[in-house]
Amino acid sequence: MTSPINIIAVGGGKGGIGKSVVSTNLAAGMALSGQKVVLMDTDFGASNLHALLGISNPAHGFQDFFNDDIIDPKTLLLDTGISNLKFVSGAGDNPGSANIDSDKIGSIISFIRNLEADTVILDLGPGTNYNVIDFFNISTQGVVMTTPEMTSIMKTFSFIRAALFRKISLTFQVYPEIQKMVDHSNPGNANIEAYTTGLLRSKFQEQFPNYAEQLNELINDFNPGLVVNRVRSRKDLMAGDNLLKLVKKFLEVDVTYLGYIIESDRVRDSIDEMIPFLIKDPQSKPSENLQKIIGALTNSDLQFVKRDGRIFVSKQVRLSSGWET
Amino acid sequence: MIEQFLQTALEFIKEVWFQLDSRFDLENTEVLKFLKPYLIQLQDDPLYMGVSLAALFLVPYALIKVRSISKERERKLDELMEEMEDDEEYDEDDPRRLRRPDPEVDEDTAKPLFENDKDAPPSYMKVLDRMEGKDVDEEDFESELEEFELDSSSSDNEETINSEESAEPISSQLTESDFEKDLNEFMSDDIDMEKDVELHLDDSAHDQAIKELQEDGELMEFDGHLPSNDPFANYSELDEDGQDKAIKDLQDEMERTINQLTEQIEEPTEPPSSIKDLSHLRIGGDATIDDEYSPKEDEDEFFLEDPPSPETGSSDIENEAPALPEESTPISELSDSEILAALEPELKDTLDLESMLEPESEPEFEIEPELEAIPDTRDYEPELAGFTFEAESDISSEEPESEIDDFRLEPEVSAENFTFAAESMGFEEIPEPELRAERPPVTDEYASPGQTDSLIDRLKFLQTRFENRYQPVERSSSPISPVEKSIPNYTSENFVEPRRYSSTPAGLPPGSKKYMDLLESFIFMKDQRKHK
Repeated sequence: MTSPINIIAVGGGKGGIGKSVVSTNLAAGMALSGQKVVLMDTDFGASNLHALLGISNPAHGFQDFFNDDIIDPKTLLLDTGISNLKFVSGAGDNPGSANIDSDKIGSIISFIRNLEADTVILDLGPGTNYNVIDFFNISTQGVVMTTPEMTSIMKTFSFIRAALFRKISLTFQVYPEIQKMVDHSNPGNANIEAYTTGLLRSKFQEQFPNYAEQLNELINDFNPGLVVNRVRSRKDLMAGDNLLKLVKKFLEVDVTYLGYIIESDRVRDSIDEMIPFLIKDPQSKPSENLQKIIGALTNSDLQFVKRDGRIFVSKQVRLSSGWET
Repeated sequence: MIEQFLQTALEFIKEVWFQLDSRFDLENTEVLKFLKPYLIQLQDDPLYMGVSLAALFLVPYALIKVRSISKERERKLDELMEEMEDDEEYDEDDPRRLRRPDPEVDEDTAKPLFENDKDAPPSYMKVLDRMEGKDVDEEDFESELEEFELDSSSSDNEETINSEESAEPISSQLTESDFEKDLNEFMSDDIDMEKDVELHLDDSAHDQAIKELQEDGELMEFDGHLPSNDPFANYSELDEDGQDKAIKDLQDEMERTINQLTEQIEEPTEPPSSIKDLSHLRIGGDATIDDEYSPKEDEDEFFLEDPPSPETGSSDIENEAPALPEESTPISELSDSEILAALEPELKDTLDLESMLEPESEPEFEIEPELEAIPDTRDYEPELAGFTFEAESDISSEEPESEIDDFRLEPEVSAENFTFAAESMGFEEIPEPELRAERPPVTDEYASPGQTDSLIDRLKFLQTRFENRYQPVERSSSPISPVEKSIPNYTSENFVEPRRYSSTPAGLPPGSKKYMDLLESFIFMKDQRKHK
């Protein structure tokens, strides 16, 4: 009996806030810490995660899920050059790939859940459409990202609300009246007055009192983590607090603050060099920030040290990463 | 033989080396270790030794020799230059001028035309001091006016001469007039004088400057003759100090008079009713007038919306002037505009104003003959930046009767910048025939037959601005009617509605409540906020 797989979905409403970079480094850090990690690019239609890992012309990718020829799922797992880290590419996508139907999304989710790994890290695409939200909601630990800009905070709030309401919608999908309240994908048939959890609770109390408790459980169990990226000052950290307050006020959701990553040229350089910055320079400030985030996610206290091109943990235990820089 | 010489040299070198080594411990130095193999090689091969010795002595000798030769050549060149400077006469065509500019020539050309101007304070400063220090009463003003009339022609000449020094030619400001003839005549006299002092050309900065101007051809454009009372008529007979003094006095007089008029015209507080009031007027500079008027685009907009009045008759001075002698209004009850208007035709009669008007001003009032009722200042509108003929005619003609009535009843309401309630009511009470009857003495008293065109232009310019400020509201046939209207009263109706721009609160601290409110306002719609 294997332990349930840990799925970490890294999302956020806005594009360009560093989801892919953070996902890659989280995966690399967890893999270096000894976990078997699978990193998956679920940004169908605009995948780029393989570029961050320096994998050109990936042999397999997202498109293979829909081929007629049934292939071994293990063939989708690409080697990354980092021990314990495998990668499922989203490359090979075509125009319109982001709009695949829910059945195909379901098959991909099934594939993820059946992976033989300790942790699966999902790099989500931007936006709040269901193909993105559904991947977020299958995670055991959702990570939402934002940058200090107000626009990013707004989109992240919308992302959290969309994910919560989608989760409620899927839970009560057999109840059309509830669907009208929580699924606003069809505005003509939707009750759009419930746009906060407070309003939703009151509606449930009025119309579906028997399911009010279940609703409360869903809301209470929804605890995404928050990472603020590209922080430049202490003032920018307040953006994370503002988002937490906003989510608590209108969604009554407790978001866990996982940490922040400072704005640094090292991160940009690592992207250009196609090497995760945690491996390229584990003692840099962004790497230290990321190590704290990994520690918060794994309930551990890890510290990476690089000597003579090799990565060590703080206990001086060599990790057989095989990554030579 | 050579071998013996070398042997001796070697022994000598060894001895030197031994002494140096014993003193400085050269044996253990890094330099010696580096040079040692080469020295051994030199010692073994006489050829190398000879070459090295030759190099040791010949190279410094060659350097010293080259330097001495160059010094000797420089010395010879200096001597030659001194001889040439002593012996030869200095010629302007001498190419050496290019190398060594003549300090005397530069000094002459750089000298100001009137050296005393440097020491004396500017004439306008005197006027400013007077105006600020004490109030100029009526008598002062009248005396200044008289001086101004008497000396106007000569002061014009002076102004022209001074303007020759400036970059902008005075011809751009002056119209063709007798003044140019006078100046040309003055120049011809000056040429005669120049013959007398030609031998002392280097010593006379003034003549040098005049000569240069003449050579440039700038002064030869003027032709004509000076009036009989022109102090410049005997300009060539005066000595240099006398010339300077005459020019300076004329300049002072003219500037003083013009500045006084300017300040009087720009007086913002109350409308003058007499020449006495005119002396107390302080209207400020051009900037003040421009500021009080709405911007040019506003003016244009106002004018565009107001069709030109068909009732406005010609505002020519010629049409207005014949009526003036019949007026009998006391001087104390006349406004400044009236006085200036009265002054205008007199100046014009004597100086043939038509020929002196700027070319762009004449077509204006010929094209629009209907502007009769408009004040005569309209003739000089082209000189005003920002004000046009059409604008003024529109203002006076387009005004609805109701507005005029309202304005009469509540003159203070319409006058945003000026409150002329008491004065304007007084004006309206004065019967018009009485006003007309009183006009001639004023015009006669202050007529100036000797005014030059530049001064007239300046006066007209000031008068025009004055009239524009106190624009008559009603389209009465009498252009002398008191001016109570202020342009902002009308332009405010025609302004384009300014676009409103409410800037978002920038730089809100992220932790503040305002920031959170703003964030929430971005997330939720207007009708959603009440459900929060």
